[in-house]
Amino acid sequence: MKRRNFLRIAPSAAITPFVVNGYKMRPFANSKIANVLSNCEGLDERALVLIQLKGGNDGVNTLIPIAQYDQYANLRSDIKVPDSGAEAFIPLDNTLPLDDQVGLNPAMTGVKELYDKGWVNIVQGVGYENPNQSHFKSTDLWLSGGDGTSENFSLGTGWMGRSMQSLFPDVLGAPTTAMPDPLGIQIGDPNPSLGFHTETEHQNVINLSGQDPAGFFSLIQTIGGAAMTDIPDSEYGDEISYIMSVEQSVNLYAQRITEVFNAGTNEGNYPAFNLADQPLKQWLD
Amino acid sequence: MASLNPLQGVLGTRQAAHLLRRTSFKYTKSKVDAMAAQSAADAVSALLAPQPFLMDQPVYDDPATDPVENITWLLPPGLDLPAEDFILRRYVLGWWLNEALHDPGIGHKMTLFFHQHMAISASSASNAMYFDYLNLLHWGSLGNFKKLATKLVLDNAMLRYLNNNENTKNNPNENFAREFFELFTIGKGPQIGPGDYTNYTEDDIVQAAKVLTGFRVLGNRSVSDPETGIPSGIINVNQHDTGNKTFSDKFQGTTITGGGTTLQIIQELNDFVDMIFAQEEVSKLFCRRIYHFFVSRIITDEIESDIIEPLAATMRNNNYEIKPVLQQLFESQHFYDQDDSDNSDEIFGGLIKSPLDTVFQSINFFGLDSQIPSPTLNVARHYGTFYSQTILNHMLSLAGMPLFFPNDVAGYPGYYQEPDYNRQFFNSSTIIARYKLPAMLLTGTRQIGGAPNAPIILKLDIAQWVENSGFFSDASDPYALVQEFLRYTLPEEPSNDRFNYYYLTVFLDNLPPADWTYEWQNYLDTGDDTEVKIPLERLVNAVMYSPEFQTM
Repeated sequence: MKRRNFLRIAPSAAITPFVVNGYKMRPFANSKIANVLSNCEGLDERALVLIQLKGGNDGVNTLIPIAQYDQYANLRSDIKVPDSGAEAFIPLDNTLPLDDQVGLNPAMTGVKELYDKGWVNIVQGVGYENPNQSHFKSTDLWLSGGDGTSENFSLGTGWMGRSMQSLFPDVLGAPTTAMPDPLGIQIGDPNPSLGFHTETEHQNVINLSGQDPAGFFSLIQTIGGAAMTDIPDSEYGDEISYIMSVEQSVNLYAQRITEVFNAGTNEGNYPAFNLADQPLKQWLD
Repeated sequence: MASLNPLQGVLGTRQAAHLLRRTSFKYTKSKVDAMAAQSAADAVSALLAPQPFLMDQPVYDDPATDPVENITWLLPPGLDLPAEDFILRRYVLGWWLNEALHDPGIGHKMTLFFHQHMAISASSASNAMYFDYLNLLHWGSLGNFKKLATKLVLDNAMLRYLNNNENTKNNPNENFAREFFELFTIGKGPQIGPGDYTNYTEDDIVQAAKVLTGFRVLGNRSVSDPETGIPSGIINVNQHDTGNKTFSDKFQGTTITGGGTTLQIIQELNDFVDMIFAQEEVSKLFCRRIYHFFVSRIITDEIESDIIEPLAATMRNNNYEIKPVLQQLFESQHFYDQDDSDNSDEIFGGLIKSPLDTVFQSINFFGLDSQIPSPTLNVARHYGTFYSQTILNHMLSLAGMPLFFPNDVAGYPGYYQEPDYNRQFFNSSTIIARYKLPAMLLTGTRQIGGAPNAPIILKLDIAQWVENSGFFSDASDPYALVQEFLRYTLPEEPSNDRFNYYYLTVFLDNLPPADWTYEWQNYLDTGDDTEVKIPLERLVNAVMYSPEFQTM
């Protein structure tokens, strides 16, 4: 399997609505990002970066609905983003059908630049059947790829974990010749995301939150003792096995992580805020 | 069949250690030994006995280091000093931590239970409000759950955190009402129709939000709850929705009569809480959360029917008093895996310790609490360097538990995130802080993070501890030394192979036992610990970064 298969969800060439698991997706910007992807060479060596911004966001003031601006402005008379003046929204793309047109919040000049290069796409109104309304259950459903129907309500595994497992069935918590890297790296939250959870609990994802990747390997070498050989057949034994599987993956992947990290350099200047401050930036360069 | 039948006989070391690890931060050998001679009933009664605070509030009376000299630690009413307020937060958090570390009972473990059950982040409250919140949780932690849930409605920090402060008759805000159902009391059941979550409906949230209108933050602490004596918010009758509120058939179609006076509004709140707590599901959800927190991440159908349901019945029969539930659980055969023929395949060692359990129990186990700087004489080091930097920032946050700063009101994923629960506490990110803990204690430095050589304030002098702690029957006998050390640090006795790993490979380094006996005598004679420190530190490291030690 090639990494680009992971991206097959993205439609090829000329785009119209495409369907994922029975849901019609309609990315606007007609195909710009899909064209970029389909024209890309060497995708196999790319990493897919997913950024989850945790918390609440005022969606309607992030993307202002141009076709319904009067209604929007009427409902939000105090907090609307104006359509003229210094604080006006940024029209994203006037080549789109009017119904698809949005204005960007005026702070989002960078996103506009990226969009014009064809590097950004926006999918709005993403939801699922029978919305649950709970902040926490909704997050779980989002990460597990479930919905509000009884059959998909408690999947217990994450969509990223399931995808990676089906794409790389031979990777069992340890590097292979074909795939020397951990299948995923999580940064930012020291608690593992449900999105990476798999049935088998092979530790294919390394969580590096708060760690210094440059020194990860040398640090890992200083901790941990001999593996336990006669693990009891009990709940105690189950926890020991789990812990040892984490230990093993960390040990096996640590050297690779440090090598790859140290082989990179930061070429740009990143602003001093939390997200940009993560070790992610060095991998991206 | 799982059973809540009471355990008979004395506990013995294994069961006493299990009980103490699960219920208290004050884990010491002397405590285990004392409990080992007791029955489960007596040991649990002692754990549940209310303990006085060492200090009923944080103080600092050291003018030399005091950044805001001459004002009390809680900002006086009307004095707005946000910068100092921020600095002083560490006094509040350090106060709770110091009380928790020293609490010989279950009290602070239960306060932590309620903090993760009804979580508020310290970053969204003033230090005074957060102090009042922690104090309220402690007040209710071994009292009455229903009462505590009611008092929480008027808690200033909660009013602010979940926006009920902004909930008015003309501008309803459902945030608090939603979490009051979903997280704090009845829980969300399966979604069986649009807006129908088995235990309540979307419309019930709308009605509940109306009941909860008109409660306001009062920042100056001039009004206190008459029963708790803890400062609270107030009721603004003009912002309350005075109409009647009718709930769905989930609540038997109950109508709560609206009113416009303070007394009527309080009556509405009590009627509302009564209505929710009349549903059996409240006690079941509570007992499930207690079970996940103290016993296991796994609740099978058998556990649900044999343990959760009878525990919940106990809770209802005692009008939501908490102690009878804890008593029944911790005295039960089930808690000690004595309810079937195999008493070593379940429960023991089946829970991964939280970072707070690991750190506090280790500090107490090695008697390092005596090195903590005085909260009254060495204020900056006590609250700042030790509790704020070493404990909160270094040992807990880097290990994945940003205590008092949870991401959201659901609390800490290790306590609530299905299906892994406490396994969340151990992963490739947290392993380093956890496994570096023995090195931190043995060197007295941070080891990891930005300033690895910075002192953590405590230092474990291992030779002196072995010599003077009274822990070992005969420290010159290496076999007995290793055996006794493992007996109190690991949740189960190791197998022969595993014991030999710790004894022969780690401790003796495959040298004859007589070498240790010689070196130990030499240390006693000369006071030079160079040679004995090496195997002792190897043993402490190997045990504390073993998989076994991560569990309890």
